Amino acid sequence: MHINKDTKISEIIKENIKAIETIASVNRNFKKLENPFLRKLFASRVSIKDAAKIGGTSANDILKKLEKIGFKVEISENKNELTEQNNTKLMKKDKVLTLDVRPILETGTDPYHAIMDTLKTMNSDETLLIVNTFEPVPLLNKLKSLGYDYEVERSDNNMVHTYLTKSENVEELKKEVKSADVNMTFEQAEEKYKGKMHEIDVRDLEMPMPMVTILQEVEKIADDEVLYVHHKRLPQYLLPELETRDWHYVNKEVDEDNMKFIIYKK
Amino acid sequence: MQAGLSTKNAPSPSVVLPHYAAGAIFFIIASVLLIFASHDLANTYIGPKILALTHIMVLGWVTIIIFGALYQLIPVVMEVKLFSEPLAHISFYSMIIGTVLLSYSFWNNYIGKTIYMEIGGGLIFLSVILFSVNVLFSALKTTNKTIENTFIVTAGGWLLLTVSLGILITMNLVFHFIPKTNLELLRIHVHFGIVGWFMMLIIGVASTLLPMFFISHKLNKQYLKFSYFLTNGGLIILAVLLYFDVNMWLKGAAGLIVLAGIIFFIKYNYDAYKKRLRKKLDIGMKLSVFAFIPLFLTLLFGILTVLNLDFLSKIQTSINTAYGVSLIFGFFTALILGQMYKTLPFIVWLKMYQDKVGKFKIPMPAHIYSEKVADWHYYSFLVAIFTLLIGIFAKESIIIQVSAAAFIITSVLYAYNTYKILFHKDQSEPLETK
Repeated sequence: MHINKDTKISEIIKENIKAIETIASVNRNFKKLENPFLRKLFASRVSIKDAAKIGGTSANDILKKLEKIGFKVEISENKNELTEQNNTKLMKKDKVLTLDVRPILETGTDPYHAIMDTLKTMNSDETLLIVNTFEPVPLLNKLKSLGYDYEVERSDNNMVHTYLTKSENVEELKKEVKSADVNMTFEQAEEKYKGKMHEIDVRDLEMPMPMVTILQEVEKIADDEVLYVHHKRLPQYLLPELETRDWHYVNKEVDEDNMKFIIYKK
Repeated sequence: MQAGLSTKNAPSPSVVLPHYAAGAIFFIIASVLLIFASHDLANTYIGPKILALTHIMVLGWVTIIIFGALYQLIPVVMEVKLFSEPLAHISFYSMIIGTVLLSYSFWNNYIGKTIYMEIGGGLIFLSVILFSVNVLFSALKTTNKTIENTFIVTAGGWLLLTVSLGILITMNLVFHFIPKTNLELLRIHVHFGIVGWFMMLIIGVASTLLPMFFISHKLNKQYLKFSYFLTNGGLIILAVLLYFDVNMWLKGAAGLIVLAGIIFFIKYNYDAYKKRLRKKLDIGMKLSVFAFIPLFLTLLFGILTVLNLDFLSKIQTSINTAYGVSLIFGFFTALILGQMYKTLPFIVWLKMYQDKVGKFKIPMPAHIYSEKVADWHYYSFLVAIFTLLIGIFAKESIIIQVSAAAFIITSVLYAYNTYKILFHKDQSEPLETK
């Protein structure tokens, strides 16, 4: 199997179960992979590059180890992946709430809900500090798309501090949500369902695949989730069908070829 | 944009589907009649049988299918409910009866005041008025005033003019109140019908559907706006020049303005073709793309028809015939053959499976017809149209009969698939549990 820094950990493990041991031997942060629960939690979401970030090492180190157990690897040119931080802005940290997720992880629970619940109860001027032994890359990727800013600090004793806060314009919209709940605007729905949105893009699909895809997705998503759809136009056949299935929607036209929908259950 | 969206806009399938069913039958009838008209067609572009054949093709085949497709399309592109479904039903039946009566009358050379022609013409006029009223009143409610929609509405206006003029010509045969020969008026009638109604409508509908099925984003709508002003402006000038019979170079110039408009339309769709995300064309799109070859021929023969050049006088009759043939049997027919596969399966699929998506294992629209049969009639159609043009220039009725045979094969295979789709039975199965 050919692998590179973008290969998903789950694919590697599927190919060769020994890879778990090998990756775990890179450094002690990866010992977690030996725990089947955490492995399930992370392996499918992260690539080698992400894993390197989590473990505080470089993708090439992991790739070299995997080469020894028979994988054909493609070493990437960029040596300084560790310093590749997406965030250079200075974040205000006036009011910091601290959430240490290490005890949660010890019990074998996914800290995702704990983090999301805390974020929901926070005031807009507060910042959440997540204390952990690795950088929660899967979570950060998701939160970034939901309008959160984050900053990661690594300390010497293998501790990782992740600061999370909302960007300014998002906060203003949150106040509107409280006043108007029944006839939500698109922005209000966007704010209300933050973190619970399952996103799909049907713009490049041929008729009737956009409709089929959307209806299949609404049948699948969890009870508290909503569907965020990138569409080309107002789907005339889909809308009545959504209605008969008790789904509601708000939409926003970005331009002629681009319309966003949030589809939710009332 | 949100108001009124919760209402179900799509019309009842009982409005749309009979149009496809009837169109397929008229296409078979026209293909069979082509055998009997072959001798006439080899020698002239006007005559009882050719008139009958033309009206079966133009009304029974092209117009009926376009009516049906538009009843489905208008609610989608204009985001409104169809103004009236009963009007659409009446329009459909009066068009069918009218076409049969009128064509029968033409075929038997009953030009002038006969009961068939009067009733037939009257029913077609009624059908067209009801259709135009339906389109215009639906369009009044729309807030979605795109250039494609404007084309469709304008086409409805030209259609009214075309049919009114047609009625006027038949009445003039008796009363002679217009100091013009019927052949001169016929030219205006034909151009209103061809450029005003069909071209305008095809530009509007094709520019909506083709980019949608090619899946092309970010196209330059400006081309369509140029196309709109050039085709309409050119046609008005051309009609005035034809009426006063001003010299042929001026008519040629007016024709060139229309031509420029059509070229902008071609350019728009060519861009859509080039920018398409779906690289592999299915049978429906293959036929639709092919349609542009007879369109080029139509433009070429059309210009030569208007110019009526001296050095071409020996083949002028063939050119005039080829102009109409490449447009009606070529461009329109190819586009309808192709777009049927993109629209009808979807409409039937929607009716059958809309509420089952995601809950049952269901077939896709492309699975409810035979792709192989469609492939066969793609090739038989290529043979048919090119043989027909060769036969017209060779002035050989036997070649035209060969073409007619190929058209019969094409129309029967096409009808087979149409009815296979129309009579599709529910094939949903329970989802496999994982």
